[in-house]
Amino acid sequence: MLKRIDAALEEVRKPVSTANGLPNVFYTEAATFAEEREAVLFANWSAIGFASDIAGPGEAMPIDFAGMPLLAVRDREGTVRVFQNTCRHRGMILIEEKRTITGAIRCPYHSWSYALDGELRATPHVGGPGHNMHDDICREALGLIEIRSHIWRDVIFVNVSGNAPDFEIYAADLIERWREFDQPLFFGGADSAFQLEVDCNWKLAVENYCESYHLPWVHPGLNSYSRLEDHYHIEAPGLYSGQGTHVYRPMIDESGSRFADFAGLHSRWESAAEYIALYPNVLFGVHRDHAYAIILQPVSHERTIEHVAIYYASADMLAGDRAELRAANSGMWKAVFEEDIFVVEGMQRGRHGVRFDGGRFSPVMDGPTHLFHAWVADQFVAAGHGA
Amino acid sequence: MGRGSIDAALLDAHARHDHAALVSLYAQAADMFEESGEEDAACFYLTHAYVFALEQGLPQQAGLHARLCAKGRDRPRDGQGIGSAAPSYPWARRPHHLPW
Repeated sequence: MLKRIDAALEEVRKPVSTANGLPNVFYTEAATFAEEREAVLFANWSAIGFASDIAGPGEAMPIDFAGMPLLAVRDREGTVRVFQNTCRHRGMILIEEKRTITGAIRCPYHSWSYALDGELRATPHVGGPGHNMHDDICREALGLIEIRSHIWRDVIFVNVSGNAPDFEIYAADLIERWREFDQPLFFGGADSAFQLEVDCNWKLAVENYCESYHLPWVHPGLNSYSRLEDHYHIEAPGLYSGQGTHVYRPMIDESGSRFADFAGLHSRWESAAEYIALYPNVLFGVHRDHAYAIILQPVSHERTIEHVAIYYASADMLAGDRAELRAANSGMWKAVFEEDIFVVEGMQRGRHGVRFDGGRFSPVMDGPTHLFHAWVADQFVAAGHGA
Repeated sequence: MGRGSIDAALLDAHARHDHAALVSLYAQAADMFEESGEEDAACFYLTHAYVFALEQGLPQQAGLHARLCAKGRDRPRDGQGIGSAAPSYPWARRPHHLPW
């Protein structure tokens, strides 16, 4: 089996014109998902949540990241940290639901308690009833396990292995590409966030997002003003891929009002927009007047939750008089993303066709999707497959 | 409040998840046992009062912790308490009683 996978990975890593896609087991087998968790999701900078979801001091949010329990916490100085959501004593889950911590994180089992910076502050009865210390229990060595994290464009990224380059290096190319958009983002709030639960492997959502080939077939409404030939590929091998359009038009309400633009953008953004998958699991979109991020939460090898958040260029766009326009914008994107569900779920079911060979790519239209497949294959090779 | 009353009040506060009340009730229980010379029982309840105060970031945490430290049941820590506006650890000045 391993030799078959190794051989298939080499097929994936060929140029797009002759490559095959990743083999079925990458979508249909829990064992491969477990390997992928280490080689792809934990070894790189993966997205786990939005910083705006823990906006206030002391807010703490448990996150299941491919089965690993994490806890994102904002301390009273505003710093966000990510910890393993596991008590250092008996391994109990510390926080079950999002809430505000006013003091310490107290384990509900034996009440070992941690400060928001992870320091172990109390070990009640650890030396016997009413004796809260013991020579063999060194609190300094038993703080919460912190997971390396970084926030970019409101997305909380983690590198579980701790071995990836610093995020600024890992994502340097995309950070530079979108340098103009490196300005404050204003999260639209409850009317600008939604989730979609889909019965597919998380990679299928990336693959579908990367390419414009499907737009006229799956999103005929978009195609009415954004034709296939108006799109271009975005290809950064080993880093990210996606698509751009030359014909973006801002949404305008009945009174002629629209969202404010981000400041100082080059004139090309008047009608351009870009949609990029930063590997492994976050999908970004930027437009002159709004941006969004979609975090793909891999629940299992056949289930994914898509977390969508939409952002605007100024605080004024969050006012009540813009609520209708924000809702319309959210509704438009939700409708587009929902149109993709039958595709990603259909590909998931199709992957159970045991004689499917991973598929052939269009040498012209599927470049960005192939780059993602090749990157995943590269991660497996780096983890010891093939070669 | 007698021991039986405190026990009942503690159960009720636990059932209501009223952790602020737990701090007060556990501290009262600690005082009661301390007065009767039952040091281990006093420290048991004092520990619970401290942990629930720590959890909530209540200002009582400093005094409760100081009492435990003074009895050799916990150890002092440099720096601030958790959550309260300007917590301090007054064990050097008030090693025993806590008029909070």
